[in-house]
Amino acid sequence: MFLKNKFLQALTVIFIIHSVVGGLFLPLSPNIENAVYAKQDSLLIFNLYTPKIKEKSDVFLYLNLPKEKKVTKPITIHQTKDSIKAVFINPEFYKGVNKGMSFDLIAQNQKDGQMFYFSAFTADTSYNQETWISEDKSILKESKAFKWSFPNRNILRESIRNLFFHVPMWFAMMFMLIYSAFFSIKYLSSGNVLHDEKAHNAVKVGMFFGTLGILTGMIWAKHTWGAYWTDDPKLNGAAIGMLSYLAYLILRNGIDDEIKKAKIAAVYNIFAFTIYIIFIYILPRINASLHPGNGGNPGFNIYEQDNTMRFFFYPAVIGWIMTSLWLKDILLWITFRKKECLNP
Amino acid sequence: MNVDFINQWIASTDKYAVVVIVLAIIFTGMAFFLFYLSNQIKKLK
Repeated sequence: MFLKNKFLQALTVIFIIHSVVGGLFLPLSPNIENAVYAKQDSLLIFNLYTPKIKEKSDVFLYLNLPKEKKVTKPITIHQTKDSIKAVFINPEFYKGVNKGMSFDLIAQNQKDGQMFYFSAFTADTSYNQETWISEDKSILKESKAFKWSFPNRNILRESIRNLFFHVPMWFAMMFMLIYSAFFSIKYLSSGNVLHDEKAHNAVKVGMFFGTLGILTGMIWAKHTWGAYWTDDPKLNGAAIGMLSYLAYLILRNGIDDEIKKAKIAAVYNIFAFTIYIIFIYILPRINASLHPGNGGNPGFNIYEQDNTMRFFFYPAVIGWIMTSLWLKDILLWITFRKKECLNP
Repeated sequence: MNVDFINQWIASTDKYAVVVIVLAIIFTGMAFFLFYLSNQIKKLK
């Protein structure tokens, strides 16, 4: 499909250039750069470092308890050139606040919209003295306005751009594995060798993108979670799944008889696909996982995805999936040319 | 191996350097794959 279609080839290249150029050069939106707090009696004093927020005079600050969807305003606020000092009532003095509860800081002004600083404060102790005051809930809705900047999140910072590079690798791999499983089933029903070759080459390309996904994910994990590899069900699941596909490639190459090879490989491929889905989509959702979108963690689509991100993320996903199809077509062409050379 | 200077470089760029490294890995991987493909095609000729 891809080898003779110049339009598809051009579209693939345009999508990838679009996501790489946009993903690298669009700036981050302003946000609170750093938040340090100190407790004093029943007060919580925050020092916020905010050099990128230009109009500090009209900044509203809130402390947000995400699970309860409740917010509270500071009692005093003092602004300097690069920082804001805000004094809140210590949330531990409110009713229903338990040890380990995490609060976000929300800053908001006319020009920059809402700025979230996640997990700015975690309760050390629990009190039960007063009732948590529910403020205006409308501020919790992030504005959907299209801005030419990416969200600026604490911990993630500039690395949020990896969404356009790390995630599409897995989309491309998953597309190739679904394609492969589909053609393995088709081979078992039709017996056509072309279907088996399609499945085999799709697994090869899928494993290539899977390896890139794991390597890029490791680098990202090191600088956000602090380690290249964590004991996380999503990471371990992806590794086990990829090993089961490597077993497919070895198994297929280990059998000489063409028909036997194709039949056994097709049956094993369906088995490996099922195992993979269980390991990377089902188990991480059952167990606690650091990875976004699993184990009760918010997925990227809740906090980090906004319309500017989507404008580059979707073309990136489509572009890399098309690249995987293109590579698979070249591999398939080479396979059949080899067969022609061996049996002219 | 002392990799402190890499970590310092990444921290000084506010993690932008992580994105550059990730892109470098992807395009190096693509280059190797295309090199493998071109070698396979050469063998056919």
